[in-house]
Amino acid sequence: MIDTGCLGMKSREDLQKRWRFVAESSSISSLKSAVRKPANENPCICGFRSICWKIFLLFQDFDHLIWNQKLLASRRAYDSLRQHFFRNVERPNNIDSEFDPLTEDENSPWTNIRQDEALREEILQDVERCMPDYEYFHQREPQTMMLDILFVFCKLNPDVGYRQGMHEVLAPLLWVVKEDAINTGLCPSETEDSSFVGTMLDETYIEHDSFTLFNLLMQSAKPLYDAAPSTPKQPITFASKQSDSFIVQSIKNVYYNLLPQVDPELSDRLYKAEIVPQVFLLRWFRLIFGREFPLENLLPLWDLILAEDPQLDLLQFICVAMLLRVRWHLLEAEPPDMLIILLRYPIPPENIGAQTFVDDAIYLRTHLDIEGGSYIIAKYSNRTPKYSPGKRQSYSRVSALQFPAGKDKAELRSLSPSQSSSISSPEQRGLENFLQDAARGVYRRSEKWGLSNIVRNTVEEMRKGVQNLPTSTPTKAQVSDAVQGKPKSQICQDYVDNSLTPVDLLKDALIGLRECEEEIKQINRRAAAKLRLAADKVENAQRMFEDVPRKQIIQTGSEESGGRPEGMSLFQQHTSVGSSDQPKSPPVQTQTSSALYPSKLATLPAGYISPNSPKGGQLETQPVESFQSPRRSLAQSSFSWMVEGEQRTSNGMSNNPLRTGKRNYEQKNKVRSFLFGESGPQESSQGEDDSQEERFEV
Amino acid sequence: MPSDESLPTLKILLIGPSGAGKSALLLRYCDDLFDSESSTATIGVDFRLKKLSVRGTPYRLNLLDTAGQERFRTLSHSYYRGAHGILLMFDMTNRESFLSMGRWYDEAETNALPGVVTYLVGGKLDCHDFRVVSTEEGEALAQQHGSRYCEVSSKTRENIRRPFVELVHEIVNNPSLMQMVKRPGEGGRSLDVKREDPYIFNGCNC
Repeated sequence: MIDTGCLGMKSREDLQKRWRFVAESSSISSLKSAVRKPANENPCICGFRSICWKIFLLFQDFDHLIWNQKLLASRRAYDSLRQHFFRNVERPNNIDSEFDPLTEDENSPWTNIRQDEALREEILQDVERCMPDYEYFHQREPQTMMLDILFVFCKLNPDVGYRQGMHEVLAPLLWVVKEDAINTGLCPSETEDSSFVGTMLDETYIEHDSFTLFNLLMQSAKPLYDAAPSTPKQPITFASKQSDSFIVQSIKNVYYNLLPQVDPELSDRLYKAEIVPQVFLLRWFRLIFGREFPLENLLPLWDLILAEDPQLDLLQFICVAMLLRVRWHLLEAEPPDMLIILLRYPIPPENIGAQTFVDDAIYLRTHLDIEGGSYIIAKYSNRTPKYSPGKRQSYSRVSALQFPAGKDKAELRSLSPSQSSSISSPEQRGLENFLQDAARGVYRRSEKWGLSNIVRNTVEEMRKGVQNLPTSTPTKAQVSDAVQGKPKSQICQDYVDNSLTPVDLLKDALIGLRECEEEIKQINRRAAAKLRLAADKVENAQRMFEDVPRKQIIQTGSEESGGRPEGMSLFQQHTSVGSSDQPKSPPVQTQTSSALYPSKLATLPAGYISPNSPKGGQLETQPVESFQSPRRSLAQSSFSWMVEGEQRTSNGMSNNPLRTGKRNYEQKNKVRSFLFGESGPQESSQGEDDSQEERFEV
Repeated sequence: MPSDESLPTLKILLIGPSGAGKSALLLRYCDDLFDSESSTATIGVDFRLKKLSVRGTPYRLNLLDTAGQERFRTLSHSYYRGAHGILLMFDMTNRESFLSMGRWYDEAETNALPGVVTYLVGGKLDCHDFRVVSTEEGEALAQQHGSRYCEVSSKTRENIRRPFVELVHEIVNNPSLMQMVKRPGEGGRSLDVKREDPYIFNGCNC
């Protein structure tokens, strides 16, 4: 293992020498090939794995200036988020005494505290038993970091919350950041390069950087944790349900679509043995193979996954590649032993390594047929499956049985190219699959900027175009470049352009919000006191002059109370319409503060808001109902879009921000499945799902 | 081991809240291992095999160890398919754990075949000092749902075989459940797609 101290392998000279590997890479593609190189030429193995992962997930660029900016911005953003979400956990005494700690009221800050405590307890239970084979994870410090990171993530993504398994997605990230970290105090930097490396690997920011990587990776992995749309008593079977969650769709696609195309014999055998796919695939997907391989095998695998496919679209093909690797064992085993093989997946020999699954997956993605499958099988076993023409037919009959009836041909064609060989040629099939993958990748990114409609239409058009292409026209590579190149690079550029300032803005906004709330509370107290005073006066006055209209006096009183308190200066710096202009209506100030930020903040980077938030769209500001209303949670405030971008549709229609999350997610699925040629979920099933969810959430 | 493969197979499901000790119970029962340091949260489901003889007849047990986190339950219903017995387990040192058992019984009754045998297990019997659920409470809950009850310690091995032996005993004494037990030579059921369809589709009428 790599020495974590500064004085060992990471001496200054050593760092500089090693830095060369990363510094010499001038593009993502050159780094992609570098992470495949043997140990002494591979930056990931030379102590820069965390930087490589940051490049793939966060920087997506090779301008060192941008690296620095993005990294510092991400660290600042985490500080702000932490501060915000921990305010009640760490300082419950700050809560206004007017709230009853024992209240059942949902809006009470005490209720929030109790929920937060329960959430932290739930997370801690898993964090304490995470990666038991590694001494590091038994220590209090990393456990606390993991707990805090997961807590912040859950608060930021209330639509999914904490799901078992997330902690094991985080663990390798934390491990990698911690392994590379250096103590900059012990390693004073003399050159510009070593100072830069020092900043990148500063051990002070292990938690910050781990959160940033986790949050970015989870943007792709989050759908794998959403199990909501599945209905009860409906096993995952070949009877495809349109309301399937993304994870169920993925599992079905691997088991009933991809595998039968590359290895019908294995598919048939697993099916007849009644192997329920989610028993092993759920874990493979959710942990990104974290339990299937020991950490030393897992990290090189993740190197390639992150290098090739940070959107995780490749996972399904990696699953197929893993099934093909053990296909002979599976064919020879009895059903229960088959499950044992799949749940205790054999560790690939050192000279092959788990990372080979990624290259197999990339190959299978464009060779999704029996020949492609046989090639991968033979590559590792020197044995090729034997398929006689007659037998092949019988297999395809079995795989046809596994598909839902009642789908029209167009849907079936895009879902399962193997059943429509008479319609499309193998080249077209590969191309179509590729298009679907590309579409999914582009879609996931684009929905963050509300581009989904445009992209969907474009991809649909392209697919139509491809289906009409004669087989001999452009090669797959040419077309795939055309498909992938344009929108993705454009979107990546947008991402880079937009991702820096917004992080700062988020921070400012959060600080502004906190200050604003403090001010309001102060004003509240002053107003209450003044009102009491005024009421006394009124009583006195009433006693003395029975005929003076009561209303008029109260007005005078409240005008007095609306006066500008001290300590407002900070807030007013941020607002163009200060309270001095409108001294009578303090609530307007909160509206002003929210109206000031949205248009700029709406372009926050993908890492800090959930997808679907409108780009540059005008956000609705929630009117402040009552001056006396209790402090609201962030999710209820006019800043709610920050934490629940998912819960707003791209056109900004969201009546109840707390209830719309799941439905929106379904809408996402709908679009996603549309890209796959399926139709979206039905309204009625949504209703069922809602009641279903309530039942389980109670 | 051809003799093992010819044994009648029983499918048993372990359910209960996260941290109750389901995986530890199976690890102790199947492999006679216990190491609280090396326990991890179950993701989705895990699977173990065990041979068990009841009154001289050997059976093969397919043991499905499910994840405890409740939110996963929407996905877990398919694990119930074809289960003969369900072990419901809670942590006797955790009141919340015990109080959630009503919902786990609901879960079992909703998803499993009617007539499935249920069995309630209280875990962590060795932690006397932290125990917050009494034997009487456990027994009362079990009785209310027509189950038997037993308290175990995976750490000390106390009672570790009892829930499995008693559960299997009850299953094999139930003729209607034994009808769906697969035996060698009559395993055609699982291959018959048509016969399975009605179960799958009738299942979601609730």
